[in-house]
Amino acid sequence: MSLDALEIQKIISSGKLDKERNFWSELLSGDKELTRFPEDRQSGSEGAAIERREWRTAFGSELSERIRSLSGGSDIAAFLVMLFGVQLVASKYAYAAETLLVTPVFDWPEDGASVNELLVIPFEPDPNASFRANLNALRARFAAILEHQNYPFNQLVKERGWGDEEGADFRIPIAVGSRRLHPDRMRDGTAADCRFWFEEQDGGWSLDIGWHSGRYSEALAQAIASHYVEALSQLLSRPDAPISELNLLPDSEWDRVVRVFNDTEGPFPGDRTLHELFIGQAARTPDAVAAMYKDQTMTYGELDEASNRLASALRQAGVGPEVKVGLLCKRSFDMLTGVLGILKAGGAYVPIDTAWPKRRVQTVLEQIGAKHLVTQREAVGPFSDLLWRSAELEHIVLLDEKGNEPAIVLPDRESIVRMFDDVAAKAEDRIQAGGFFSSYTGLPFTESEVNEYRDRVAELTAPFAGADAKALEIGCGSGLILFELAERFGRYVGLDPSPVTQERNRSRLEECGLTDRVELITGFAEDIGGMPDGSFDVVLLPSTIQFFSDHFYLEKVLRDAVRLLRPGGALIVADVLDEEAKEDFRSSLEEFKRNHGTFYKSRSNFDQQLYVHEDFFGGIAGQYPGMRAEVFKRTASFKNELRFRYDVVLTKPSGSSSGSASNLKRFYTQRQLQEENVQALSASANPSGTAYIIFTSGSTGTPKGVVVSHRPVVNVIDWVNGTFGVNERDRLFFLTSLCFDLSVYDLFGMFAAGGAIDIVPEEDVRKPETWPQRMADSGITIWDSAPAALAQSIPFFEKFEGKLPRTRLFMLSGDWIPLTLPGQLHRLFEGSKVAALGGATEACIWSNYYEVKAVDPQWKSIPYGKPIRNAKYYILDRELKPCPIGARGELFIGGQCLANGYHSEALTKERFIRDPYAEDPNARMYRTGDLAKWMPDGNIEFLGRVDHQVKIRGFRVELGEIQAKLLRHPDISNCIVLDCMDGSGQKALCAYYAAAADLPFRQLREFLAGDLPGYMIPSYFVRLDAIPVTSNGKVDRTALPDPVTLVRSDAVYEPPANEIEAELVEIWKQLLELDTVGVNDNFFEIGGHSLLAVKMDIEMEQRGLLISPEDFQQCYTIRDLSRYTTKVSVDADSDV
Amino acid sequence: MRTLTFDREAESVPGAGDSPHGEPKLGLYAVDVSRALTADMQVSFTELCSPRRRARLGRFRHPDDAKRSLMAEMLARAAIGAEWLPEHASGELAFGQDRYGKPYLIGHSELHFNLSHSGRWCACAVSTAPVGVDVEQVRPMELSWTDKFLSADEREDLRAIGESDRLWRFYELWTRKESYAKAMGRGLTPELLSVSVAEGGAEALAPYRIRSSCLDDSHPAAVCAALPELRGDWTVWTPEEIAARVLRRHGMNERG
Repeated sequence: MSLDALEIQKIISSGKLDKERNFWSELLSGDKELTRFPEDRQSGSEGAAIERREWRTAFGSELSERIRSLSGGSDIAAFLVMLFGVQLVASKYAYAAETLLVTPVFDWPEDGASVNELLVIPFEPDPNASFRANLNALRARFAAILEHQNYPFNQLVKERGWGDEEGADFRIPIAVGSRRLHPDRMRDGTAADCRFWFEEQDGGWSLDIGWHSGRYSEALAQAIASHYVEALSQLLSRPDAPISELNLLPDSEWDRVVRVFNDTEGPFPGDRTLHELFIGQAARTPDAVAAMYKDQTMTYGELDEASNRLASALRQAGVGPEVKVGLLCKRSFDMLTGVLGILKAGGAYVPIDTAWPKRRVQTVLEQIGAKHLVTQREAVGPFSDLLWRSAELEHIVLLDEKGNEPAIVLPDRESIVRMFDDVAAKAEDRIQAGGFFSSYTGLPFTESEVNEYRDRVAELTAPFAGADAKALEIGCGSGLILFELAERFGRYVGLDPSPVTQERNRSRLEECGLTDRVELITGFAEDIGGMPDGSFDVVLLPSTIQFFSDHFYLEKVLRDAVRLLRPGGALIVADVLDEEAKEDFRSSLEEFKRNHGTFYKSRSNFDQQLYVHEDFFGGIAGQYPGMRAEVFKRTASFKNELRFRYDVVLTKPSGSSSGSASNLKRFYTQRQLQEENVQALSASANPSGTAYIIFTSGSTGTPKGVVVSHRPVVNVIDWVNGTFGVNERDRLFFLTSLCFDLSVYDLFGMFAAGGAIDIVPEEDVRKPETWPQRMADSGITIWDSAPAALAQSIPFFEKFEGKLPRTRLFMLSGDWIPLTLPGQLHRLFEGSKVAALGGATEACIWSNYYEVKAVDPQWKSIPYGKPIRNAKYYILDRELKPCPIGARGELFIGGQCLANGYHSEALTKERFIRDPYAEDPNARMYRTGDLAKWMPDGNIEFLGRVDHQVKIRGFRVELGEIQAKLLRHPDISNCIVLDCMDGSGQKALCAYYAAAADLPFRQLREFLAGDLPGYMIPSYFVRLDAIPVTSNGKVDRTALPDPVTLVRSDAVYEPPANEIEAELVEIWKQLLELDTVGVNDNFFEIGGHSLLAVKMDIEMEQRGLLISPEDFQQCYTIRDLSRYTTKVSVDADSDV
Repeated sequence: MRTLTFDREAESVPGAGDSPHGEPKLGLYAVDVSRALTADMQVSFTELCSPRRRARLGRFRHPDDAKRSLMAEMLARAAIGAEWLPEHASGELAFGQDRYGKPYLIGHSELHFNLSHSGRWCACAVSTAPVGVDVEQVRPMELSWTDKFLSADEREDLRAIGESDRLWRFYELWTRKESYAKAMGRGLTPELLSVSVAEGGAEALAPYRIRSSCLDDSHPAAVCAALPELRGDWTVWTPEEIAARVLRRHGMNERG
């Protein structure tokens, strides 16, 4: 008989158990949880009566004798020996270094009144120490625990958060006891999911294992028991060997998990490269359609020719084996030409996404040291300055460019002329005429500020001036610089697009008597292309280039300017908007507005002006041998916004006489490609060579590149096509980005089979509503994507009025597959196959598969399946030893399906290690960082990431399990459950679900409570029209909104009790835009603020609900308000 | 034609709102809470709050409201601890609420402060005189119902302004009214509400002055205090800077 809860509380608050409390607090500090065996059954399964089952196994005389001799006849010592065995087995099954098992207490007072009946024994075995040594450590731990055994276990459960608040149905995951030490009622009376009970009779020990049949199958329980006996036996026969040498698996099981489950060897065309698969097909069926884009098609023959031309050009430009070529194209046929062209030239393609931020594009180009880039004028636009900033980049192919050189975006002459004419006409003085207005205040700069700028330019120009010198100023404007510098040169030419401005300049020149020295030309910067070489000593662009359209235009003008310079001359670009300082400038503007805000008209038109990074000029100069670029930042002087700009001087070396440079970037357009040979190059076929490098986001933020060779990819493509009978009649819906390796199957899988790909245009990739029509028009037979994208489109398939295409194969990979999805697909597309494929980019697209036929309602997730041909899967424990079936371990992938590694050698060594289970000594295996377990039939169940475990109040939570349960709700079509932070800073669960209408929060809770323990029920439920999806087809977590429904612990919901309260509830619902408002809710806590309070007051008045201002101020809830409110009838004519 | 020298040095006024003796009289502080707080920061901040405050934080229906409320208190602790009561650890400051719901600092009745939060911003004003501050996020709203409490010249003001600027101007007026009412400390009663706060009628509010400002393009703000002048720039801190001030002073390490 134990003391009741109240008495226990009294004892604890009296401080009598403080010593115990501190002990346990320290021992259990950190996020520790009670160890459990991984379930292979789901509780709450329909129909199954939950019972306690038992199974007994005797140890036999030899083992029993060893136990007795090691424990010297002591009951407790014997118990510890056997307990250690359980700890070892539990740690293997649970993938836990430290185990926390529960035993009954060891002190049973005669009169039966004990404060506590259960103990938790936390212990971490040392794998390098022997059994004996570990036993001693356990003994010491045990002794310490015994000293503090009076602390109530239930109290620990509450404090640690192992049990939820309601205290319902707490079950001990693993309980261990012995008949010699513990009363029988503890054996049967303790609610445990798995129970080890040791009995001794006539010197022979036996194990009585009991389990909860709703959680564990008989097979698993028996397997655990037999592994236990095996472990105990090994420990006792070699008590002085390090326990890491223990091998839990009997030979037959070892063989099963390592060999039988991995019996996947098979032949494949290992001597072919990816492009050879295409070439072979193109030779067979040159007129067959290879790709479709919008309403156009491209045949195999056309694609073959186009890629041959590109390959030829690239070869001549130096592309060959292991040369990495960047590929940056929009979704189009050019993408395909690019991929094939690079491979045919012998190189490896490195896809870059047009959606990446510029910094990432730059990082990737730098990492691969790219000398060659295959792109499109349209795609490269936003990144064009990188072409010159990167010194390595030499050859750039613009697949969509029809002209001889990259198209320049010419300025809209009319509107620019109008703008500058306007400025000139409105100007009241030289400052305004120069357009010098402060972005901060909108007011003109001061004289001294403007002069500071002018003097700077003069200073930079001075070394190149002289009586014989000639200068050209592009963008002379109102002549701020011109009139200052003209006298220092023999001849001065001023170019400006504004006729009005030039007219005024002409008059002023006459006044100053400079007309013989100065020539004024009305024109645009690109007009200098017509001037002869070497005509100037100085070319000046003062505060001009920010008006240029883009970097291509800028580069052209600079190139012409360099040509115009004599040797020894200087190209001076002044007042350049610094791209690096752009954000500083923006913050500075914001700060100013904040402090002087509404008074001034601050201007910020960042996007209309051209910002240039100083490395751009470095890159330009680098193209000309001997040319120097000197950048003058303005950190010292210039207190206004001009300090976010810089000036740069490029000096042409005096030696060379011509302006020809050896290092100008080479651009290749369609014109040049047309001249290339259309015949195939001699095969540069090395299947072990690198085919592509795909960059994924690294955990540190730096993208990491996965380097993949041809051979393993050919293996998986050949396997997929063979397994699913992919042939030339197939058409694949191409949705994914080239930066995601699914695209490699999409392209080469289809090319190898002779089928066609339908390239979904950029604008439709995020619009699932357009897919059914498109798929029907193209006759799509194969779908390949991440599950979220497909799940999103189901409602549109269901609504589609036309005839759905006869899609026969759905390949789903990369993310958690909703359990309802296969059923929906089978229903909508009769006779179709649904294949769940898994793996990693490091294991070349896919390495495991499961064909989903019927979805077992017991499943928490679609099984990961089995390894594909030539792939090997290992589930290993922390010592890299194979796990028994049903035990949780880390997933390793071996076999012939691995990538070469990462771009970083250090990282490769870390993740790709030697495969000790393969016959080939050079074989490697890849550490996935995922947890999984084997099922008896050789299928793998995925259990989440090693490093990302969601823990709510100390409990490990499988989000997939909650998702699976929620999806069973008839009104919910899709969902995702994540961990988040609640209002008071604690971890909580948030469920986002897709449904036609909001589901009452209470109902959802109740629905889940039928199957899930309290801690697994989300605190927040957010309804969405659809779960948002990224360009890779995975769930877009950043697009998920903040949860808005809160479980309120204090303010209990109460409906209105009278008419006044009912009216107030209506008013609040409208004002606060809420569905539910209780009369105890605090206005300001549910989203109200003072403006709405005033509105409420007015609204109440209009409805005849009167309350004094003082009372109104003091009431925050409807309940309180109603007490002081009186209702009067509202006269329709009264003046409210 | 006006010329104005935009002098960087002159922009940051040392010792905002200086008295002739050089002691600060008014401080303005703000923090942008649009980014998520780290889990550790939230937990550490929450631990500084009283149990009553913590319970309240748990009751907010919208987590953003809870976050703003929490950060406003942290902002006050950081501000007061930084420049007004540096000898006291920010974590040791204790806040109470008067019968009108206005917070005050226990044990330091000579120091006045006020908090406001809306949208992305939390704002705090600290002063030696009673002070009120209000920031509002401008949200599209139909304005006709507001005529009921605006004064005649305020209504005129709004009518005269072009339609595209009217919404902003309304919120600007609103922040002025609220800052005034909060400085007075007796809640937004109808009398206070109907007092004109348009810039022209400044004399009627004396000795209180109101100064309008904006924290960004969509958040006007106003400060009101009974001081001869309301000079000074907004000090904007990031949540990390606030954490460093508040948690370090309390002797806690920010975990992670």
